[in-house]
Amino acid sequence: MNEEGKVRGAQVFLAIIALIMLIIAIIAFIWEYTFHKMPNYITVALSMGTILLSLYFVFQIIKKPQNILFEQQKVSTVLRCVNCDYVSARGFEKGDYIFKEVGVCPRCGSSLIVYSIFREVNEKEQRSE
Amino acid sequence: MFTGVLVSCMQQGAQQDIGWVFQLVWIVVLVVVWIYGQRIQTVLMLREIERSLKKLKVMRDRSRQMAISAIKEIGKPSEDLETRVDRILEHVDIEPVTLDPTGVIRRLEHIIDVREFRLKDEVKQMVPEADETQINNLTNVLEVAMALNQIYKIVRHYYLMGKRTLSFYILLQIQMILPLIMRESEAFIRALRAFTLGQPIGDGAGALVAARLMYGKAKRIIVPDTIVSEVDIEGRKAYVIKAKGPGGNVGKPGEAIKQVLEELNGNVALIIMVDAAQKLEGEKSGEVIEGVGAAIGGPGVDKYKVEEVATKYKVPFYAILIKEGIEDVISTMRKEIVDGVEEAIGRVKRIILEKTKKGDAVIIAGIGNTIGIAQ
Repeated sequence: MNEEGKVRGAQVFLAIIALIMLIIAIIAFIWEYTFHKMPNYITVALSMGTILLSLYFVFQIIKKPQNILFEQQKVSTVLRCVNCDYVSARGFEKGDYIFKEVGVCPRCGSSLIVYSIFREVNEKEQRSE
Repeated sequence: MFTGVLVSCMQQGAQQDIGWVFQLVWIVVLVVVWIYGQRIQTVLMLREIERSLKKLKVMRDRSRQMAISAIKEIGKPSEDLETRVDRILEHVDIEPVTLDPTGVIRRLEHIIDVREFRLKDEVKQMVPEADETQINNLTNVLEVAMALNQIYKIVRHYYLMGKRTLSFYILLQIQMILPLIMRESEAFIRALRAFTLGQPIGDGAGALVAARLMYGKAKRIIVPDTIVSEVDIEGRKAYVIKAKGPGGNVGKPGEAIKQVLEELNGNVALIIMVDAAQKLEGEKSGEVIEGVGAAIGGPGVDKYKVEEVATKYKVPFYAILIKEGIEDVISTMRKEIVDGVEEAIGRVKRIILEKTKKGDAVIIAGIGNTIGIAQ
């Protein structure tokens, strides 16, 4: 089993334990309210704590792992005419570099060059600044 | 009635027992924390470092795989490609001795030159059909993979040493700087994509300023991997210097400035250097600031040369810096940095107008890795 597989297996195991804890806590919680007129506050507090803790674990386990490192970034290429003020933008294509001639201007027929290449910053990245 | 009193007494007794049990538990917990507190903290630190180490290992392996894929994509490398890449990843640079500091810059420059030559030569041997741009980009990819390999091994070293000795202080050293290490490593992994695809990176902001100024003008190679172009700016003769693009390359700007100054016998009114600079937390990416001094990063060889020659001829040198975060320096250039480049061009022109007169010669050096930026 590879490293990722081991991690996944451990996560599944933890998730099962958390779910069992959650079920037991819910049963204990219902039991207290159904069969005792006076609620045992310690049991209620423990049950609530266990339920919250289990929910937190389950949420953490099923949450999609952060993969910001290898995610595709949106990179744009801005094309500009060397003669007139024609500007257009498209997605980055392999082989693009700044000042590369990529065709002719649809407006005046002069050379069209790559003027700039940049990546769009996502909201999460912007917030972290 | 008697039964009722008995039950009441039993309940009271049971509550007292529970109280004693809780008190005992608290005392035990207190004693355990008091005696084993640091050990518990050590174990928690070990767990935290282990998690980061696993992440670093994934990054290291991914970078190695990406380097191999990038090489395979360009040509048909020899069969022992993986062995060769692994050998390169383990490459080390030995710094020159500083016990006698005389001539240390010259010796350091020689080591850097040899290292660069060796890396490029290795790439050429692996993919003989690659052109200059591809060789430069692949060299950058390998350098990133080498950096990630080195980071992984250093963190692993501290982790294993801490685990073996269970020393709180060994682990503390690595744990304190771990967030910064992880941030830098994440920047490196992002850089891989940029280097593989040949996209301009944040560090190339200075080079982009120079490229914009020299676009469409005649150029010549003044020193290896570095070009100069004579540009007229408001009646002044500007010698614009940058690394030769669009391959990943920083050139030798220090040596180029020295050469131009020597050629002109020091008759230069001003040197302006434009470079990317690390922003402080809270500052905006792409913010442009001005200063004086040699704005060149790296090991210090080029900076030393500029300082030496500018001092020799008493030429004032100005710096224009484009601020960016550590994660932006080696990842694909952000829009804010491109905007900063436009502002920096305006500032270069303003400084020239304010500090020089018509007919003067000025040197403008755009510092940084010119990957994805031609001229």
